Amino acid sequence: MYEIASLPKPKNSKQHNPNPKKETTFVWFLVACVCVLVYAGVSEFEKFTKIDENGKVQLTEKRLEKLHKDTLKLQNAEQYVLIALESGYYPCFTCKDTTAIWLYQNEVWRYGVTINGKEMRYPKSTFKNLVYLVEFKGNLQQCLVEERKKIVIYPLLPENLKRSAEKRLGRPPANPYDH
Amino acid sequence: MITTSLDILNTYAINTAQNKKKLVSETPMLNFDLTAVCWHEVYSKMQLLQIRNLLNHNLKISNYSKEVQTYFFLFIIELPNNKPPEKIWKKGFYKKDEVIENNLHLDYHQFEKANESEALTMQAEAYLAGILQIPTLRGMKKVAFDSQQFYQDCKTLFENVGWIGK
Repeated sequence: MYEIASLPKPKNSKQHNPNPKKETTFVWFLVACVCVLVYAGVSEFEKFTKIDENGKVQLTEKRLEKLHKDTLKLQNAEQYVLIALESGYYPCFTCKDTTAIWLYQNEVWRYGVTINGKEMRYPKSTFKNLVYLVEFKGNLQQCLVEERKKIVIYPLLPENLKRSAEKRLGRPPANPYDH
Repeated sequence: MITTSLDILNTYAINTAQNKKKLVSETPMLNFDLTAVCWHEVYSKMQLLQIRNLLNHNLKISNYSKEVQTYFFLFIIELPNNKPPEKIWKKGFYKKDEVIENNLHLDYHQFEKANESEALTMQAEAYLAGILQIPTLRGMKKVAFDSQQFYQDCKTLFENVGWIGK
């Protein structure tokens, strides 16, 4: 008589797969990838618009809100100056033969323009030993004009003219360009 | 005596190192640092260096906490009709740098009308008010900081120099 070999018992799924957690994580990763691909495949038109009850194409509420916020930001710009809190050496990006310049207290380091104080999102270490003074408030274009004027006129400031000839700067120490 | 190209290069390196200009940003962090964001017309009334020097000459932050190296305070005096949103003025404890950052808005019109002495009082009072906020700042729940003692010591200091009344 033949001995009928018993069928191997089905292995416990946990025993068969020693890493169930890894498998689950991988599945979720695949799902996330698919979602990203699907979203990326959606055009911007589809993201920004919807069909209203009359069948007309309209902007989404989110998009309208962004328009409102962006418009406000552009109307609420400010032109600022960063000045030295105390006398000392400050980084210089417009100096001819050196990367540092001696500034006396309250001398100009940089002119700039920001929308809604965006500059202040920089780490505080950026403003170590600097004071942020708001000189002009208006819409973005007005502020850019003010900034440009001040950068261009900088060579004529008394604090620059009192320096020895070879140390006079064409622009403030931290304004390497006119904008 | 310089005799070779290598000597010239080494001498240049030594001279350059000796003449290296130390930036203010490279100086060690102070225990108490501060600065301001303000409308340019009222800046002349601010006494930032005076306040900063007084605090650093008389107080030590290690007396209030072993986990904090610097208390950085920002005075904000801006035109009232166009303030930037408050959320961008960061406040809280930054563990990596061991710095507490705090700020306070001062009333623009009051500050504008104040004379130098009154303006200094306003700044001192704002600084004290800021100290009272420290326990509520983000990240401060897990930090041992004796803000009560800090407040008392600052108050006594400001009273002694006549910036606030006793």
